[in-house]
Amino acid sequence: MSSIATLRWASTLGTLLLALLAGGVVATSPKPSQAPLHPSVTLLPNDATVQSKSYVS
Amino acid sequence: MSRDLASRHFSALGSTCELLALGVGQAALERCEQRVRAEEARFTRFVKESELARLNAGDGRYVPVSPEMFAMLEAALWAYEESEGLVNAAILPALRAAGYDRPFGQGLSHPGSSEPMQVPGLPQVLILDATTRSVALAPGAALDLGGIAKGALADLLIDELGNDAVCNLGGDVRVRGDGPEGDGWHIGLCDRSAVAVRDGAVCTSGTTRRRWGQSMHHLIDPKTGMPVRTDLAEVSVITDFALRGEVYAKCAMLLGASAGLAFLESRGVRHAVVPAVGKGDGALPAAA
Repeated sequence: MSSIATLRWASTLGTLLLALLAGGVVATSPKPSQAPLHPSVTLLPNDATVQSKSYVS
Repeated sequence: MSRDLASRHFSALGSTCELLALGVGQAALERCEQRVRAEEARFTRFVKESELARLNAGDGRYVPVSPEMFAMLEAALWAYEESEGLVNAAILPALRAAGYDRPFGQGLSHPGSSEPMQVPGLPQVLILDATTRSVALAPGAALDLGGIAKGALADLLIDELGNDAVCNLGGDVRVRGDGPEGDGWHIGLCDRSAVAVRDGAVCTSGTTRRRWGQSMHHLIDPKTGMPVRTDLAEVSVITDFALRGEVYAKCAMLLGASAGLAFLESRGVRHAVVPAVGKGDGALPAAA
């Protein structure tokens, strides 16, 4: 292996390591489409009765 | 004190209001309704004698204002900053030009202008002087505090209803307590889903009401001065305070589905949406 090829290989490996350390691989996973609910809020089933409603006014 | 559910419904702030409370009597709800009506009289833009109308007619002069008005104007400036200029109380001239120049229930007489109009940034036209508790509004500028007042008043008036209550002012809902079933108050969202909330707010914005003419509605895009063209019909958000919810729901509507939902997600805000039918007309909600 030539010295240039060795350098390229080392460079690629270093970039991959840095990406792993920085969480770059994790960042490719799908982003959640909704923020988590606050602990004081729970989702109700579809057939739940409501006591009040938020609406456009 | 009884844990019976007390409720009161009435028309105010140009919409329907609902007060619910456990452990307090009807008298507390009646007092709260009177507060809503008093604040409506202060913040309406449609009555010449209201404090807001007098401020709008100030023509650049410093006008002494009540503590309530001063606080609401501070809230309007906060909303402007928090929304990066999207929620701008200075849109009133554009709203009038679009045809919304009288209470909606009286019927709007003309379709309004479809020409773009420059909307000044609120901080550029509004100066608050805390020392003298007075306010100056630039000549030609005028404020609409409708949405901001609903949210801010819901946050304020929940205190009048005890520790287990709902203050729903035209869809801006502030909630506190465990509710009748013990898991929080059950609040419906725009997409017909529902959440139980113990302490927080649920607010909805949209273009499905207050519509007139061919495609006119009350949500003004401050960048164009015209009713916004958006691919969302309605957005509900769940937040800590109703003022924040009012601002964030309106931001999402104005930004549209892609940027609007990213805006909410970047702030950790849970939401529900109803998309508009067609592309960007904001005309009709999709079938639920």
